[in-house]
Amino acid sequence: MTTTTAIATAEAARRRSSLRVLLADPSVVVAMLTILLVVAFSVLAPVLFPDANAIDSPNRLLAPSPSHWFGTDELGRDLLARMAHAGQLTLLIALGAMALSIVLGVVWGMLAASFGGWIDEVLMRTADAILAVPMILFALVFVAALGSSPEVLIVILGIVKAPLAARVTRSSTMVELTSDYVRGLTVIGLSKRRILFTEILPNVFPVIAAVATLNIASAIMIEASLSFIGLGVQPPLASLGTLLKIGYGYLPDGWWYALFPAAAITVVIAAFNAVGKRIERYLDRRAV
Amino acid sequence: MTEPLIEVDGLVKDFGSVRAVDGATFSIMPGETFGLVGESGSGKSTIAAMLLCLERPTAGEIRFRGTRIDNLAPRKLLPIRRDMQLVMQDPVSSLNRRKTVRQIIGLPLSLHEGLSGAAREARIVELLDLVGLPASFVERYPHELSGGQCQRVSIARSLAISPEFLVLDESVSAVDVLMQAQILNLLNALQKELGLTYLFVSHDLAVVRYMCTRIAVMQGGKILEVSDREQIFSDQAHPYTRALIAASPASLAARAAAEATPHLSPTGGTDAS
Amino acid sequence: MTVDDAVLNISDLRIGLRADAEVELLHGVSMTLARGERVGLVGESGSGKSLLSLSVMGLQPPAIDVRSGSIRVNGSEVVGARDSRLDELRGRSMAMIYQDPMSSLNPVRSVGAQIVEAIRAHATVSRAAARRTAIDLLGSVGVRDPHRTVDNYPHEFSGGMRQRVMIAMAISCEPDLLLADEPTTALDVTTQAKIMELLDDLVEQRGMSVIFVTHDIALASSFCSRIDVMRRGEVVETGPTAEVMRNPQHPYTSALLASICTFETDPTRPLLSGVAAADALTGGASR
Repeated sequence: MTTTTAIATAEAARRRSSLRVLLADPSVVVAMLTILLVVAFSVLAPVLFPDANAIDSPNRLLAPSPSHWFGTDELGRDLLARMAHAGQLTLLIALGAMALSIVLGVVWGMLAASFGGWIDEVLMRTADAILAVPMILFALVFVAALGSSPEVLIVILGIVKAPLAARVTRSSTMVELTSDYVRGLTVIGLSKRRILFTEILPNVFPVIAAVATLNIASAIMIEASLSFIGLGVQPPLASLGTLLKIGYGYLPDGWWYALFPAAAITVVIAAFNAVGKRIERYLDRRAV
Repeated sequence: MTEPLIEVDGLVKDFGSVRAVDGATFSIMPGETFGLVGESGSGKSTIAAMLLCLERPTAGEIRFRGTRIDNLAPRKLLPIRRDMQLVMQDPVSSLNRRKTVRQIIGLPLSLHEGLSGAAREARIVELLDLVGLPASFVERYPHELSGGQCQRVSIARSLAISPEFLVLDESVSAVDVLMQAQILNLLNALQKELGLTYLFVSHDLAVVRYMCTRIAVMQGGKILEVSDREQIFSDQAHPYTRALIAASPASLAARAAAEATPHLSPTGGTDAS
Repeated sequence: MTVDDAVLNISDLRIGLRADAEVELLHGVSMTLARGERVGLVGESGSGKSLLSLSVMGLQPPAIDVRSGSIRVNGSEVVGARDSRLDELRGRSMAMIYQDPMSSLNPVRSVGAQIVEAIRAHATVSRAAARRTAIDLLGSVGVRDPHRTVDNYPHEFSGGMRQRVMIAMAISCEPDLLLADEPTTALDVTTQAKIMELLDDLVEQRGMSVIFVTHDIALASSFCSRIDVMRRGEVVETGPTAEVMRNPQHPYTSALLASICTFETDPTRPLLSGVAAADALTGGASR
């Protein structure tokens, strides 16, 4: 690109902020609205559906109707209400896992990048090892050993997703470490630790944001899969995956019981994926 | 007799099997602008890096005000960093694109002098004024500034904690010609005002001649000669030096202008000037 | 010299960003180049000089649109021409060399193969004949041992040699117009001088017209018979080299000349002295 073109394009782009570029894509707008809706619903679940667990046996397994939009479960509880609460648990686990994976992964990747040598080798081969094992299998083994309370699930999922964040952070950090501005800061007298966390980290952040969003989608999927085979969230607690598992058992009698949780899981994963991919594509274009 | 500010003695630097610097010896006196000239691969940037303690020499010594600095532990380097600063070639990439001018210039102030709040802000504005930039620039990011303006910010930052010695590593090579002239003027003015000593690393001999009173010419890691301006640009200079001078665009232009018939004119005849 | 004799005729060219009608990059540039004439297109970054030369080749980036005006190479219109027409013109009528030879040389093919490909795109000759021509060309641009190095890959050459290879490829189809976009900026001073000498010989021998794009007015003055100074998308001054260098008409040109260091510049005086409003010209100190 000639200098003239670069200057002009940069000026024109400045007039369109990053957010608007993101919103320019209609599928992303839909995805973000979906996420907003789901999050709002889940957060407000206790308020909107305070008596979700009210057992109402006479009304068991009712098909969707104006009074029960998603039908009822085997104990007569409104399915929509149950799904709102379950969604809250699903999101909590996913967000917790994402946060842990990012914190772990960023420190992991930065240490590997800045120390280099055998420390880098050890750290990265560990990451490779974890990545080599299929995520669900990995999680399975730990659940078998440690049980499946939501807290344990957050830790397991966080560890499973950390190596990816570590890899991405490491390569991004390595690039930044060779740049001129890091050289200048070294001459100014800034310690390596401070350079990493106060100067380089903000530059690495966009890449991490993409990974974080995709990690949420991934965590939801693994947790749902685990719950579906009975090794995730156990009753009386329920995540969307747990609901799906139970609903699957009632499939001949109540199609809604399996369908709506399945649809919800799919939609939420797709939405987070769409946003995450969009951020990734945006970053690729900027890097070119 | 004045003591040299910087003394370089038998400096050698190897990168694996490649010898980038092969026995460099020279001194820089306080208040002077010392030129380090060479083409790519000459080793001039490596010497600059070693002077700034960014690289450890393989052999040889570097002394700053008589004290050895090439073998200091990283912890001991901080006080030296106060006295020796750097302005790099690429104005935009030498600043962190995610930081504002205020954060960039403010960093050495908080790091070395513990300044904060209003005192820090005042000093930042003072420094911007010193390099000819308005106070409103504190809010801006590097990508919102031109190359020349970024370079001025770099200069302001490097002067923030009043160093004695400034390494200018091709500092005007990546900047447009008009801006280059202004920055050179600024550097000279600052030198007089603040009593600075400069190491001016460049490949452009005409600019080096303008800026520097003493010059070292390098090729292939070796220093071929160290002399004052008059000597370097005379017939007594090293043949390589004279070849460099002859090949520079300024010389090419002078020769073309002196020739009576440089090129064909549009009508196919000869240019009669 | 009529318009038709001209190798290149640019008339009121206006170019801007496709996505933003408000942004115009070239504001009505006009220029004529006669056979054998060499013009130095001198300007700072953002002046539009590279964009202008790319547009002549029809190689402006996809984000850029030619809004109006015409570019005629040997009488053929380039603006709005079909790709097939442009393919014919490129190589036969006009060729371009760049600052970074690696960006115009395919790293996974030997240089010989690339030159042969260029030759055979414009003339029906056998592979063997084209290869002979390629070897001759490499020899004439000063590549050592062309019989052997013709099969080398670009990365096996040094920077200066790669530049020579790129020049060989550019002249392989005997173009009438050579566009050189900062061809020596990335080279060492001694290598630059040698390449300039090579270009001088080749251009002289083949009677090519040249547009030499550069930020270095001194370099342009050593090579070109005419200098056009560009600033912010406009040509602000044009004239024979000696005139422009000794007697500039436009204040911007005066400022450019007062900024550069020569071996006669007085080290005790500031640069740009005597040039009024230098700040306004650079958007410098007070903005």
